[in-house]
Amino acid sequence: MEVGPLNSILLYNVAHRESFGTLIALYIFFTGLSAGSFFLSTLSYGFGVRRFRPLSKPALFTAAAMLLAAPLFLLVHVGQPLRSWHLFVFLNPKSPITWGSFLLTTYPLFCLLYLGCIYTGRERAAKVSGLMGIPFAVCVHAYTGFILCFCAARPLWSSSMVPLLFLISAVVSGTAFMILVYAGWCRLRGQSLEASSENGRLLLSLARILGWVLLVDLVLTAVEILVASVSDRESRLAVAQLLFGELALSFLGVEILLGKILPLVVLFWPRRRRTGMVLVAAALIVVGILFMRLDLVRVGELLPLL
Amino acid sequence: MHLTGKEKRWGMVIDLELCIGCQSCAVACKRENQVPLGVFRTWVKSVEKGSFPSVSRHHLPINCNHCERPVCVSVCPVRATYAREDGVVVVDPHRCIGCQYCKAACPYGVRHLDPVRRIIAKCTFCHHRIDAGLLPACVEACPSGARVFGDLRDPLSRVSRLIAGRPAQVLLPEHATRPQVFYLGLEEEAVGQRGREIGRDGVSGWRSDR
Repeated sequence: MEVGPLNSILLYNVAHRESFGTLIALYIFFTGLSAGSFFLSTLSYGFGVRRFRPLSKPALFTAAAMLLAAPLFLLVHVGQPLRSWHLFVFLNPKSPITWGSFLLTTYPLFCLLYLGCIYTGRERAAKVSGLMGIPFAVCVHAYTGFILCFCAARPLWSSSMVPLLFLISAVVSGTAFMILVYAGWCRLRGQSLEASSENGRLLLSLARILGWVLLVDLVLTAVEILVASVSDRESRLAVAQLLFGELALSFLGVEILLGKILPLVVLFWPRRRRTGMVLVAAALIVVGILFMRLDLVRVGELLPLL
Repeated sequence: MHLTGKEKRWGMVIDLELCIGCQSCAVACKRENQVPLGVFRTWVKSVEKGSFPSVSRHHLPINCNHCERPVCVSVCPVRATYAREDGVVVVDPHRCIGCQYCKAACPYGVRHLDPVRRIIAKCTFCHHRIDAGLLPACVEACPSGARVFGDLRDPLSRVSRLIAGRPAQVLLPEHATRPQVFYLGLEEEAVGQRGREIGRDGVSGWRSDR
């Protein structure tokens, strides 16, 4: 312990319970899965990448299911869930939560419209509704980043990197999750997943996309941490918590090592591209992104402000 | 400060050289506002500075700063929290949905979720008392007269004279929230997280919920 006039100890303080906990982290995780799988479903109908056609339906179902699940976490989180209708009546255009109330209601409508077009076989309408859905999918996830960003006093939340990082991690977790869903979908229908089969080739090209997006995600995370570690006192203390403190195991161990570095090694390992390994990597990535949400939500409120 | 107009503008001055850290304000607030167990609308943070034999103890009474530019008001999605004409920032208990965004966004951490009513609660400057011409409970209870309350638009009020006549600070001015609670003789060690860092080794900080 330091000796001298600069030695100070805390005798008494009050710190209230955190505002956003596990429930909000899970909410962000599920909207991320939804947005990510929506992007994948538009690859074939929206952008004409025909080899991803078999993916469109399961991806769109996943997108819709995840987005229906996500707001349930919000309902459990708020103190007065029966007053949720206030969100649509008393609006505050300055609040990202108000933006979200409308994004969370219009985006599923686009999903349904798009799904309807695919099932009725109207290619052109599917293309238009898919492409129009993309900005909504982007916004529905980026706005959760803005919710954290607008808490200007919270370390690591108040960074312009957060909405961007959220978008990238949405694509990462969405793609990884779709690999798992698609593998399950094939298994259910008794189709082969061998690397040489059509399904296997689809999985491997998804894995190639996943590898590169994951690399971008890792770089962005490193930049965020690096800049915060030379920033103001609160940010430095928060980074110290992530690297050496309470959250070190969860951040360095699970989020970075198990969730990013290990899968990157698997995905970029030359000449051993087996679908089994890809599935393991995808599962690790999904868990890693879940921990990324938990770590970021927790670190902002870990240290008292006063 | 940009204080024009005829309305009153309520503000508080806390003279830290007079504060003895007795927590009478915290108790009076609890009783007056029937604040539930485990949460506080005001409390006194205490730190000890220096090494024996050169030591001193510093207290920091904390409550809502009733900012002129309140972050909580701009992020509330249902406009449940708002600033009254006289500058007092309050929460409409019938409109708040308890999403706790304001609590996360407040740079001072002075809001909490009322565990009984399941909505956000905070210091109201005892608006039910000041509207009736009384002082806030914490001000009335303070035995050393460290807390002074009054109209910042009246240049002759005690708060105005104290702020004008002595070096006065606000908490975390870097957030540009323009707090209406002013401190005289603020000790840097009492603000921020330094105490917590060292306190982790066993000297107690107190978390209300665990």
